[in-house]
Amino acid sequence: MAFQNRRKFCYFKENGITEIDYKDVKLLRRFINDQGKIMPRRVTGTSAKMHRKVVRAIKRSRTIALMPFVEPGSE
Amino acid sequence: MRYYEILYIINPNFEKDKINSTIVEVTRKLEETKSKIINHYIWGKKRLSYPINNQKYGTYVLLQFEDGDRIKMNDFDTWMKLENLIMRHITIKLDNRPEVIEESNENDKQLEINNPSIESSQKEVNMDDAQIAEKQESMESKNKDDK
Repeated sequence: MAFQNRRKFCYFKENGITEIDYKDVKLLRRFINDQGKIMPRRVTGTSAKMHRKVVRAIKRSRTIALMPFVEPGSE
Repeated sequence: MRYYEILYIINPNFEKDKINSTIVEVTRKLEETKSKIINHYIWGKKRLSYPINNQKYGTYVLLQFEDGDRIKMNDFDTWMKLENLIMRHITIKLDNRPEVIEESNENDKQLEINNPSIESSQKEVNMDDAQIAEKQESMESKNKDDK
């Protein structure tokens, strides 16, 4: 039982979300780590299609200072 | 027809009149490009994730419009970049026509929410202090009773 797999799932598919808004910081915060880096697909389990949208949204919100490029205190 | 959305940040220290005059200025400049404005309202005062022009906070304003003269849009973008009133802006192309939001009421509401929220939080802190003081007093009196 030690090697039981944790079930990975696409958050967006599960919740029926098709479009991601760059202003929705609360949602996008799920997909960055404590340093402010975008987490890889192998960790979050997001589908390739939605991961591309997440990445675009995070990068947009970074330029308008809604999300950090680098989380302060983690440098 | 294409629909665009511009989100821009104004200096948080501006007063209500200055914010409104900035919005009017942006509207006037955008109307020169023959664009049709759909929404233009204050999104709220928020903490910036990193300081811009040594400011920790910023007033976000959201502008959604239908495009007009696309060649003139370049001039508008340059103007937004050079204008000192606007700290930063981002233009996004929308897939669908955005829904119209009644702006006049929201502007007032959001401004009201922004300012009293600080006062109310301070009040809460004061209340907490008072409660703690009361508790301490009651505890002290109990101790005296025990003695």
